[in-house]
Amino acid sequence: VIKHEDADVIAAVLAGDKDAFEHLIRKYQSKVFTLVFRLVRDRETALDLTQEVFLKIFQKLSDLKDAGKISSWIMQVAHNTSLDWLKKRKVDSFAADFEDQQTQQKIFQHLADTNSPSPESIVELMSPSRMSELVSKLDVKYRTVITLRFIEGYSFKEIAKILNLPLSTVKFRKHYALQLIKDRWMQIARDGDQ
Amino acid sequence: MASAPECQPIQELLSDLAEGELEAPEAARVEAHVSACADCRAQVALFRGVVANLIAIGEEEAPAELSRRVMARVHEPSLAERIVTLLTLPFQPGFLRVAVPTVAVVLLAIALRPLMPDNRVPASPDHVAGVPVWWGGNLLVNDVPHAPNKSGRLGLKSGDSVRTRNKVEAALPIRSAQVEVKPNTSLIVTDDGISIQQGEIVVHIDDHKPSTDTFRVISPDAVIEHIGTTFRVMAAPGEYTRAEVFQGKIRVISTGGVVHEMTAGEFVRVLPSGAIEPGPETIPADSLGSNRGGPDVVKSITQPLPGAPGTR
Repeated sequence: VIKHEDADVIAAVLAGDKDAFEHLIRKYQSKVFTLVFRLVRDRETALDLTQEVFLKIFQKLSDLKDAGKISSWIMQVAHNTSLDWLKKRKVDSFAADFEDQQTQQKIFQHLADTNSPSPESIVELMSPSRMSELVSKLDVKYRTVITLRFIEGYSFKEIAKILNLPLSTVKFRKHYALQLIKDRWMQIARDGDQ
Repeated sequence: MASAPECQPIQELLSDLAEGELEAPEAARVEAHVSACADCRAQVALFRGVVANLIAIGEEEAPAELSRRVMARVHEPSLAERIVTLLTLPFQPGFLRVAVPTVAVVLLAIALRPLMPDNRVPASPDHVAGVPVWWGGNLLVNDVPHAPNKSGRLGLKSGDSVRTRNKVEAALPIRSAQVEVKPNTSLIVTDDGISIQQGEIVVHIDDHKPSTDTFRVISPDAVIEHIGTTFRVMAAPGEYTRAEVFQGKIRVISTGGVVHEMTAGEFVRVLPSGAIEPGPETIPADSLGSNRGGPDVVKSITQPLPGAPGTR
C-alpha cells in the first residue's frame, strides 16, 4: 500500500503537480532529519542539509526507475549528502578510548571481579539520553549503522541497500558498534563519567 | 571480551542473540552456551540493555519550517521553465508594446554609460524607490526564506539576519542607505548600519538626503563609516576585510585601532592583525574575488574621528 501511495505521489509530481511533493517530504522528513542530525551532530546544519536532500530528490525524481525504492533512495541521498558535508569540513572526531584494547581487557577483568556491580545494576544505570551521547562519539560508519538499525528501525537488508555495502559488513559494523557502546558504558559505570 | 577459548566463536553472535536476530538452530546453540557461561550471560544482559536504550532514543522530529522551506524552493521556476518563458515571450500579447521602448532605453543607457561619473557601481533596480527587492532565489531573513515576488514587505529591524545564497542578490534599504547584497553573503542589521559576517555588499548613501545618522559597517576586521559616499565591503573571515570607495569618502577603523580615510578609487585591505594595507588608487580588474568561511569576532572598535569632512 505504501509503495502504491509513493508511486501515485511520484507520478503526480512528474506530471507537474509540485504541491504533491509535500507528501513525500512529510512522510520521510523525520527519517532524513534523524539520520543527517546523527551524522553531522548540529541541528541547524541538519536542517540545511535535509532541505538540500529533498531538493536533490525533487530535481532527480524522474531518474527513479522503481517507485518502491524511493525510501532507500532518499536515505542514500541523505547519507551521501551528510558524508560530503563531513568530508568538506573534516569535522568528524574519533573517540580513541573506544578502540583501546587494554581498556576492553580491563573491563572484562572488572566483570569477572566478584565485587563488581552486576550486569543488571549496570543496565539500570543506562538511559536513552546517555546512550545517545555515546552514539554521537562513535566513528561515523558505526554511528550510521546504529542510527539506521536501532533509532530508525531499518532491517539489515535495507541498511545494506542504503549504504551500498554487503550484508555481512553491515552486521559486523552493528556488532562492533554495540560492543564499543557496551564496553564504554561499563567503563563509565566503573570509573564514573569522564 | 571473554577469555575462555570456548567463548571466542560465540562472541560475535551475542549481540545478535540479544537482538533476537539469530535463526532457530544457531540461537539454540548460542543459548545453550550462554546458559552455562556466566561471562557470556552477563554480556548478553548488557547488550539487551544497550539495544533497549538505543531503540528508546527514537527519531528526531523534523523542524516545522523544513517542509515550508523546501516547498518554497520547489515552486521556483526551473531552468527549463525559464527558458520556455523566454522563448515564448515574443509571442505573448503586448510584448512588442513593452519590448521596443525597453530595448531603446537599454541601448541609450549603454551608449551614455562612458559619460556617467561612475560606471563601476553595480546598478540595483530600486535605488530610488527604497523598496527591498531580490532576485535569483529566496532571501533568507532570520533563516526564513522569502520568495523574490514578496518584495516590499521585509520590515528589517535591528538584530535581523539576512542571508543570500548562490546566485541570489538583493537591494535593501537599511537605515539611511541602499545596500546591495551580493550572493553568499551573511549580515545582521544593527542600530546604526550593518554587521557583515561574510560575503560582499555595496552601500549607497544619498548625500542629498538630509540625515544626522552615521552609517557603519562592522566586519570581522574593521569598522567602516561613511562620510557621504558609495562604498563596497568584502569580508573573508580569517583572511581580510576589503573596503573600496566608489564615490565620496569613507573612514576605516581596524580592530587594532588604526584609522584610515580614503576617497573614490581607493581600496584597502584590513588584516585580522589590525593592520591596514592601502591599495593603489586604481582598482584592479580581478578585485571581485569570492569569499569563504565563517564569521570572526570583532575584538575592539575605536571611536570615530570627530569633525571629518562630510560627516553627518
